[in-house]
Amino acid sequence: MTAAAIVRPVPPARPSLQQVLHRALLAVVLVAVLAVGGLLTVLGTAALRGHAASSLQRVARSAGFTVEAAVVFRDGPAAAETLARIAAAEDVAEAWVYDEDGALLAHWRQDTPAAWQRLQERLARLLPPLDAEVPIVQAGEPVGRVLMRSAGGGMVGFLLTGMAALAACLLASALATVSALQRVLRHILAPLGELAAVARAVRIDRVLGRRVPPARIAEFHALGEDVNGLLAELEARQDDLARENAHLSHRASHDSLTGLANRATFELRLARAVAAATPGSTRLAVLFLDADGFKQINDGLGHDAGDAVLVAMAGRIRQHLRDHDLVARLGGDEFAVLLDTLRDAQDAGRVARAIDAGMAEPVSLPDGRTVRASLSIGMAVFPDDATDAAGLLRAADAAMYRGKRRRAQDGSRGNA
Amino acid sequence: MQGSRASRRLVDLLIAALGLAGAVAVPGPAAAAPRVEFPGAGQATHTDRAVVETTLALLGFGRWPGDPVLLRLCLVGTSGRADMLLSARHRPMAGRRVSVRQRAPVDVGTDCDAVFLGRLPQEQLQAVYARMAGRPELSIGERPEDCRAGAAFCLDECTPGIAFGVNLVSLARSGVRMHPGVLQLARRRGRAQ
Repeated sequence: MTAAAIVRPVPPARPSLQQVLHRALLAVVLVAVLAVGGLLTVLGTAALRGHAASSLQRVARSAGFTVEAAVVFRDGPAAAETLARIAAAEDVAEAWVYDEDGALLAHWRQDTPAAWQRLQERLARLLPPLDAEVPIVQAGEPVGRVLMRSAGGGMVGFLLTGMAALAACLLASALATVSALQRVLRHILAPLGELAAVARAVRIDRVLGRRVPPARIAEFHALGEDVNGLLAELEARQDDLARENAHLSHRASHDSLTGLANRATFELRLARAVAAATPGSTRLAVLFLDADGFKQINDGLGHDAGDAVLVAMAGRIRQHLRDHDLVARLGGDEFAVLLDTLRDAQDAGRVARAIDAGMAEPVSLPDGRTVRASLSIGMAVFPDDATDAAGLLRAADAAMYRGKRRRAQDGSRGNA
Repeated sequence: MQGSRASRRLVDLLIAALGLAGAVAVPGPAAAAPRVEFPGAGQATHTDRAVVETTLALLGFGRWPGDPVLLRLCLVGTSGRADMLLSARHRPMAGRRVSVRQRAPVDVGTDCDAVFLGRLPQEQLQAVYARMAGRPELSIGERPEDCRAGAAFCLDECTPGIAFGVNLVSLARSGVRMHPGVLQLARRRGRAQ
């Protein structure tokens, strides 16, 4: 592995869904409001200028009527007075009156404008000037001209109110968008959170039983259903595996013919019981059981009969044991019993005698015949006979052989 | 159809509003043919011309009963501007022409629509006013004091041009209606003096 592969890049800070959606939606709102606002401002400015132009034309025509006599008589002061009276009341920046020879008869200019008007003038200067020129007619003949220049037509007021309205619109739209987004996010983030929680439960707690609740949004609902289906499949598969596992471990630890624990299991349980037991206060006993004359049954009646006898023996041994006692088939016709936590050694002998007595009944074979079977039982008690598992088993085995030999001698003596 | 017309109007509006259509008017002199010409009056002063122009302009603002096509201006008495008045050629005003004639004071009251009063002995002047009474004749005096004497208008030579006064009683009696702008101009000047 190279060094470059080992050095992993620092993952970039990831924005949340909410941040991404917020950013995108606010950008859309900004663009939309600015586009609409800009268009409205342009159209409004155009309409305003159109209105200002026609208004200026009317004012100039009216001034033309009013200064008519003054122009005909070339009365400059009278024309100037009239012009000032009219222009000052209107949205006029500058006005001129020419007589019929084209000589300037009167001129009027707005007084030093206020700051507001200066701003308006500066703004108006960005656009071509709005002028109006009308002829002065007396008795059907042109006798002069009036010329007027607009002061801006309330452009600043319009633009400022437009900006304010634009800002207000922007704010309102942004607020509406954010609140709408919160509602949408609730519907998106809740199912995402549920999905994440279920995924974490699977990953960390190995819990497959949790399910994603139904979601409001169709896609999330479908996703949740898919995840639930997947979890159900996984759960079923895990159950199968567990069952198979249990089956396999049972097969590994038990004898297939009699269903009893096998030698390995017995030795393990015995070792565990001995390890847990404390000499002096706890007693436990091991019984070693061996079928008498099993070879003759097997050879004379067949293996099926032998198996039936072994199964019957296993069942009868178990009848005399408590739930926590263990009986195992060690192999062939050998059985072993672990009697855990005995009150005293007498109890073990009682169990051995009960098992021996239980064998008195003949065993029914599959073909309907019956056969008599008996067991030789040896017993070892912890800690009296041995203090370790192998010793206990050996001691019990030895006791069993001693008993078997004694019975054989008794039998031959009796027969003889 | 409707939409395309509306959009064309919108475009027109935009163009007009932005001042793109048509040249932007720039203030400047525009010469026109003079209303009054003075052939053969080379040495006439500015004031002389102004007197004639003002007299003819006053006629232009008047409305006579019956709206005559030809206005007859009668010169009565002696005046330094008589020749100029007689020879002045003016543009017809609203299709109305003016003919200027020298008349004896006794002729006033028969075939005059307006009378330009030059210098006259006092008794002749009174006779002229008396003959004009009750007739639609507009009297224009050459001197400022003529208004007090009974003329409807009286010229007043002053720098830089010519002013005029009005005697509203005489004007009302004459029956000739004047454009109100003229009356305002006269009154304004009366105040100024």
